[in-house]
Order: sequence, then structure tokens, then C-alpha cells
Amino acid sequence: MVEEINIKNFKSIANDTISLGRVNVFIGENGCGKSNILEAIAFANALKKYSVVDADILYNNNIRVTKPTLMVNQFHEKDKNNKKENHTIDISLKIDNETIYCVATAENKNDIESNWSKNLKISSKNNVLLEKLKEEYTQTNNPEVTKQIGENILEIIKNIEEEKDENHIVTKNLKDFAIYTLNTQALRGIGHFSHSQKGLFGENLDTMMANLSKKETEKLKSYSYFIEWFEDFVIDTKDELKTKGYKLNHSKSLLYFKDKFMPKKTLANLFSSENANEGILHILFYLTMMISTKTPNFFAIDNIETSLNPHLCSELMKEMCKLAKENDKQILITTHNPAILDGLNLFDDEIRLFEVKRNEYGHTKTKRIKLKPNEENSFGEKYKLSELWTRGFLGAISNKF
Amino acid sequence: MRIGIIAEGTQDQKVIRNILRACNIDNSDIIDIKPSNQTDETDKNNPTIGTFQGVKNACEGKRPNFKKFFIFEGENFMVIHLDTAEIEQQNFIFQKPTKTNNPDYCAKLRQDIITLINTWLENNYVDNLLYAIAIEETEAWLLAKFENNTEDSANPKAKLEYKMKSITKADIIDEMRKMKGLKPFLANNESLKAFVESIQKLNINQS
Repeated sequence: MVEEINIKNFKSIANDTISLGRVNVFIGENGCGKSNILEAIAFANALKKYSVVDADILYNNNIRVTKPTLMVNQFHEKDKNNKKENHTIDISLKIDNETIYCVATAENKNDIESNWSKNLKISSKNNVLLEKLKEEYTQTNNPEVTKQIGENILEIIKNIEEEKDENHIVTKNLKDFAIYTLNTQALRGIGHFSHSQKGLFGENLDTMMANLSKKETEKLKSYSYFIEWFEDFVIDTKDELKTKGYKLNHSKSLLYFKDKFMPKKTLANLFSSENANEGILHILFYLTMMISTKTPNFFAIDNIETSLNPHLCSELMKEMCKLAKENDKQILITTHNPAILDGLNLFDDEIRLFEVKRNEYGHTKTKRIKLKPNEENSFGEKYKLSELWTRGFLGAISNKF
Repeated sequence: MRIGIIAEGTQDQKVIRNILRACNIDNSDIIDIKPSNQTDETDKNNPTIGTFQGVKNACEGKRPNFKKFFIFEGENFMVIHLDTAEIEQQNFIFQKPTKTNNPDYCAKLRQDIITLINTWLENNYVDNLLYAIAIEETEAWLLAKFENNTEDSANPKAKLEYKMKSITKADIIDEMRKMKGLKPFLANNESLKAFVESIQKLNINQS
């Protein structure tokens, strides 16, 4: 799991450190920088993954690309503590006690399509050990000891080489990181979405569902109670239903639904995802992401609440927390819907809520919201987190109106 | 750190917010508790929400505003604001100290109001409270831009209206946002100075 992120000089973030849990929910007023946090991780991932990082790569990773001068923090003029202009983005991620440092500078700071030159360094236990052994090597006069240390150094160097391998913990955790921002048309298979390879807008929902194992499909169907009318779904892998008049030719989606209130004979209750309500498509996407072993283990969802009823938001969130633990997923979520918070158990250290805000200088700052232990705050009364948020006790709202 | 504000009115909240900011508390750490954020459009005309009685109600009984605010971990402080102007017209007995020839009038009245608030609160949360007691009314704090000893002013609201010519209340409140701007006000109003000193005792050193 990614335990900690430090982001320096990326968009609205001058310098911020976030200690992550398994499920991480970020709240804050519009424009406070929630999405910038997600983008910073996607940026670090792009630096790690691609030999050349340019605007297209960033765009295809759901990073909003601006001129490089705006990709770095531009609020230094008002910041009395740090007035110097800096063009280097510096992001580090601590993963299972190893840290990857990603430093990037635009080759042409005025060109929006500029390539980014990068410098990556992994500080692992092996790196630390190597430094220590090198020092011992230079200080020892005993030939036998020197020989032994030399052999140890070679072994460590071999291990460091292996760290660059695909299986290394840092690579494994980061490589599939993606920011999902669902779009109803994409979920319905309608329209052209340039990120189609990754399905960042939900355009691959049918494929993701088709790739579920039998057990995973059963698990997914166990959540049918989320939508009152839902009876079953069908993935028409051969795309035959289209020719039988079950959908117009607009949608590429192979996903169909059955409605339990409609007549069941001769598939009269079958209809395409083009005609399904928005909510069910969003829910299926999130649950499939959480259940499938083929989806990334570490990913982000921007604005999870889109199209969902508040009560459903709470229930979905509660189940996603459970699934994250069961299937070893780590997720970052942004939301503007207070009901999402009611699905979080903040007394569980793996479930974390963060307030994201702009300080006096405009810098994005993140603060974990923790509750005092039950016995200290109960006073015989309980308050829903959603209520605490809407009434302003949590912060994360505008103080202008 | 989080600092909540329970005040008689939304303008009082704005004044207090800027004073806190002048004392090096980050704007994003200040939370309007009451009267802001407590009502919706349906309930906005409830007469007890943005008044002296509203503050009293918040401090008495089950005190849900305090419970909800202090439920979170970390350093939390609540500012309680009251104007003293109409305290004797409330539905409880309160005797103001003698004003004439009393150099301690302001300090004594301020302390009496603090004691009153703590009585309402049954002495709960006292270590985490800041008292924004405006002798007469918050307008006396704003009036301190123009004249001395504004805590002695009989009708600071009217006087302020008279003094403001080319500037608005919003302009004056904005001046209070930085310590450089706030300092001249402090010399001219004792209750404002006492409030600022209580904030400074928190020893805030935010980056």
C-alpha cells in the first residue's frame, strides 16, 4: 500500500504530505485542489512508467495539462515564506517502507506540449545498506573482511537491479494507478472517448464485467438490492442483440439489463445500457473495480457521487470499504456529497477522511479529520458525519457564503 | 487548529474572522458555527437564530453546537461573541457595573459577561473558549478606527454611520484583517484589545 505522499510544487500544492489509509476520501470546497492531489500521483506514475513524458501522456492519464509554468505552483508571490519561483515538480511516495522520489522539470517551460525531463530515485532498505557497506569497505584493512564486504556489496547491487523489475513493490503498486471520472455517455458506450484504452470515463464497463470470474460475477450480483428494479444483467459478447432490435446503433456497449417488474417471457424485460438509469451504471462500475482481480489495486475516483441517491451513496461507500479490505484495493475518492461520509467508519484507521483547503496564500493543504474516541465525545448523542459537514462543523465548505 | 465562531450575527462573524486572521490564524482554520450554516431558506426567518438569545440558546441545554464542534481531534477553540448593549433587556436579571467615574467599567463588565457565559455553559469547555465581548456592540470596535475610548460610546452604531463617509463597514472590517491595520483599533477600544490579547495567548505559530 502507498502509505504516504509528499507533493511539492505541483499546481496548487506548494508542499503537502498526506498519510494514506486503504480508503481515502477527500472533501473540500470547489477548486480547493482535491483533484490536483490525484493528478500528482498520476503524474508520478507517468514519470515512473514512460521513458518520455509529454502532454499526450499526461492527458491520457486524466491530468489536466496546462503550460508548464502553471503545472508548478504559482502562488509564491504572496507567500512570505517562499517567494522564489521554482520550475521543478517533486513528488515522493512511500510504499511499504520504501520511497520513490520523482523529480520533473519541463524542457520548455512556455510550451504546453513540452516533454518533461525526470529524475527518479528509489530509496529502499537496500540503498541504505549499500551506502553503509561502502563506508565499511573503505575503512577496513583486514583482507578477509574486505572480501566478505565486497561480496555483500555485489549481492546488494544485484538486489537493487531487481528492484527495477516489474515485480518490485513500488512498480507493482504504482503501475496501474488511474483516475476514473465517470461519464454517463461513456458508461452507455456512446460517443468517442480518447482514453478508451484505460476506460477512465467508464467506457469499458461491459468489458470489465465480461472479464469477471464466475465467483466475482456472483459477488457483483449480490449487490442487486442497490437498485429496486434490477433482476439481472447480460453481456452480449457476440453483439447479437443489436440485430434483434434491442438497441439503436449508437452504443458500443454489450451490456443489457433485465427488469424484474417487466414481463419475463421472450426477453420482454431486456433492454440495453443505453436505456438503463445512470445510477446503476455508476454502481456497477465502482463495484466491478472493487471486486475484479483484473482492475488496478490502487486507483482514484473523482466525484464518486455523480448520479447517486444520498442513501445509496452511504451504502455504496460502506460496501466499498469492505471490498477494499477483502480484495486488497487502495482507493482515493473525492466527493461533494455529504452522504458518502456516512458510509465511512472513522474509528477504523484504514478508512480516512481528509479536508482539503486553500490556506491564506492559496496553497492546497490537506488535513486528516479524526474523531475523538467514542467515550470522549458521545454525551449520549450521535451525529452523522453528513450532518456535521452540511452544518459546517467539519469545515470543507466555503466561508464566503 | 480549528477555531469556531458563535456570534450574534453574520457581520459579527466577519469581524471576528478578520481579527483572528490578523492574529496569524489561517482563514481556512476558522469555522462559522452560528448563526451561519445553521438554517436553510425555509427556516431563515427564525427570530432567535441570529441574536443575543441565539447565542444564549447555543450555550445552554444540550449544547449541540459545542458537542458537534469539539467531537474532532486536535486543537479546537470556540469564540463566543456577545454585545453588551441590550443585555439588561433580556429575560434574565443582569446588573451592569456602575459606569460613571469607574475606570474598571469595561474590564468588570467583560468579566461579568464571561462569568455569565460560563454559567450558561455550566463551566464546560472553559479551557477552549475565547470571549469576544463587545462592550456596547461590535460597531464600537469598528468605530475605534475614528475615535478613542469607543467602549464608552452611547450609541456606536449611529456614530459609526455618521463617521463613515467614503468608506463602508466592509472596508473597515477588511482593514482589520492584518495586524498592521488592526493595531490602531486596539488602542481605541479596551474590549477589542482584551479579545485580541486572549487570542495572542494561544501562542499561534502557523506556517
